[in-house]
Amino acid sequence: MRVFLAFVFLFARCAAMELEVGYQSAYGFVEDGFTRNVPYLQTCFERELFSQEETLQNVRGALRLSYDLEKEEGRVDLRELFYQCLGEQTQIKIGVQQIPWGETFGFFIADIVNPRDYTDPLFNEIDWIRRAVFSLNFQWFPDPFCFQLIVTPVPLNNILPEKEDPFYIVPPAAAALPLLPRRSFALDNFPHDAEYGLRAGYLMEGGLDLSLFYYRHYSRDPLLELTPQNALNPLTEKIHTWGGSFSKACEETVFRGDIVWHRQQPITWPLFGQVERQHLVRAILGADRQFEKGWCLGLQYHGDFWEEASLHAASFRVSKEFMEGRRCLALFVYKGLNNRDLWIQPKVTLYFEEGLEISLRGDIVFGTVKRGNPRDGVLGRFRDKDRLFLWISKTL
Amino acid sequence: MIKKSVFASLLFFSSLLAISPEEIIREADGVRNPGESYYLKVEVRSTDDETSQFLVAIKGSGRTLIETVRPTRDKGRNLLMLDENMWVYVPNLKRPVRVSLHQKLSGEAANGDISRMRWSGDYDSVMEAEDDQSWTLLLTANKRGLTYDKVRVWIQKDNFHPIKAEYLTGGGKVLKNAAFTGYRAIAGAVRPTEIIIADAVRPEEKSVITILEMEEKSYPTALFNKNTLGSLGL
Repeated sequence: MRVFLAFVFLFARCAAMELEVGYQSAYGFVEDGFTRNVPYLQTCFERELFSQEETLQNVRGALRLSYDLEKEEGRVDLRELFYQCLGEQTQIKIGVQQIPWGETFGFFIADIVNPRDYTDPLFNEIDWIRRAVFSLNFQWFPDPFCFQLIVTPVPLNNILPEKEDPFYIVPPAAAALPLLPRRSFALDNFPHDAEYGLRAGYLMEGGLDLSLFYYRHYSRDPLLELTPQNALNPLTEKIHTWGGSFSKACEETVFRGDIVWHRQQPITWPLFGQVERQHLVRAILGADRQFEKGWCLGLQYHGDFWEEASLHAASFRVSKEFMEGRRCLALFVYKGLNNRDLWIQPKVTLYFEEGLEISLRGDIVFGTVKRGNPRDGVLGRFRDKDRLFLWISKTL
Repeated sequence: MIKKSVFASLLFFSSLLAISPEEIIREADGVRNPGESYYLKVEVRSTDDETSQFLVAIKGSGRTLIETVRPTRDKGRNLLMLDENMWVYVPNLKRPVRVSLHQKLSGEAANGDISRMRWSGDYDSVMEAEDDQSWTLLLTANKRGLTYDKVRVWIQKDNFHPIKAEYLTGGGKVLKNAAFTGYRAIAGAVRPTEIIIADAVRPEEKSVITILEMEEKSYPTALFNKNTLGSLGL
């Protein structure tokens, strides 16, 4: 409530603001019912402060109010509330924010600074599922380099599905096991619990944009540990991650890639069980190209490499705009190469006057959990979650 | 008095005789650009009456930030151009995405039509022809990644106002025709506030770029960085 009132106060005195109302609804074919049924209101504002020549300062905020009609519960989600100062070669942002890393699409393997909301794992709109955290974010841009330092004093956990959620995918045999509470973080534990890291980027003469990063953080992959007391523990541990991203434009084609190495990442197969710790390297390499008449095609290779096994997959994305961009058809397909993962996501988006947007997408998922090891892939647990997803939004 | 006027005219016209293509282009750039760093509010109207509006920040010859105001579906999809490199900020990713320079802005208008408003520095110029009223210069790109490999431009002699241009491929084929009109006082001088760009093969397909506002303005260099894209509005 205090957050909401503070927001209203700032909002009322703002210089620039936006309001969006919307509705998201997903119909599950196997469930024969709604797996998502959420109207929402989203607002964001920006207020300039004491700006001088060559220095810009402002405060930005974004808040989302939503109501889950299935669970009959409301939610207030502070998406952003930060102060920033942009100097000649520096930027400092302090406050609740999202800090995106990475260059690739579909699966955001380098986007590790913010935890995620995994209550709907098939909903991969990263702006919605990133959990904003309070961070100090400092960047320095001595051309052509870029350096970034991030400190998050009090981390947040991923949000995981609860027992009554459609995506609580613990098998029936284990569904009765008690689910332990998540570990909590507090400022009292600073700096022990803090997450921190840095990134260095370099835009080369020929146009290759390269960045390397290191982040010390709590593991982002959700897992449930089966404890000796036969309870399910949503485990997260602090790990080291090193990684890099690149992009390069060659005529109409853009090449891009992300690679990350998570050191001693806790894992468990099947979904829950005894936890191991293994080095995990993930990579996505891809290219996309724009063609005439509004066509766009993208291809990506995905690799996950554990110490004992590896997963390979490919994805492609094709889209076509019609009526000067007022209609868009798109198809995203993710296909396992040494596993049975398959995710097909067709989508149609209609843009109308005055900020009205309607999109209809399908999620069709295939996979297996037979072998109980990494070669099963990652999507088998969602194979009964095929659905139709409707999203209506209006910017006021 | 008459002698002084004649003398001044002779001096002016003799300076024109001596003027190099590079100087002509620099003067024409001075007509189109109020300074090293400035702000534009631009509207692009296409054949199907779709209207787009952009706020543009330009710093030097290689840094441009374009903020999309209209249409609403593209609001927030800001563009950053750094020399030959371009990124678009995607609001639902909340991050910049690398794109190719060939991405179109709106209709017949390319990004370069409002982001690179200077010819000198980007093109080498050669005098092709001249008459009493104007010079015709052929400009050849001296950098990779520019929107047009060649430009043939007509510049008015008495005031260095660009009149029209042909945008060409490297082989000399005309891609588009442009007309510079709407001359009026803005940002301290008389400048063209309309550029009408038409497809050379299908001249009925055209876009009109209208400069609604223009003023000299200073910006921090950090604003023109992909890592700050989306952080601040213009």
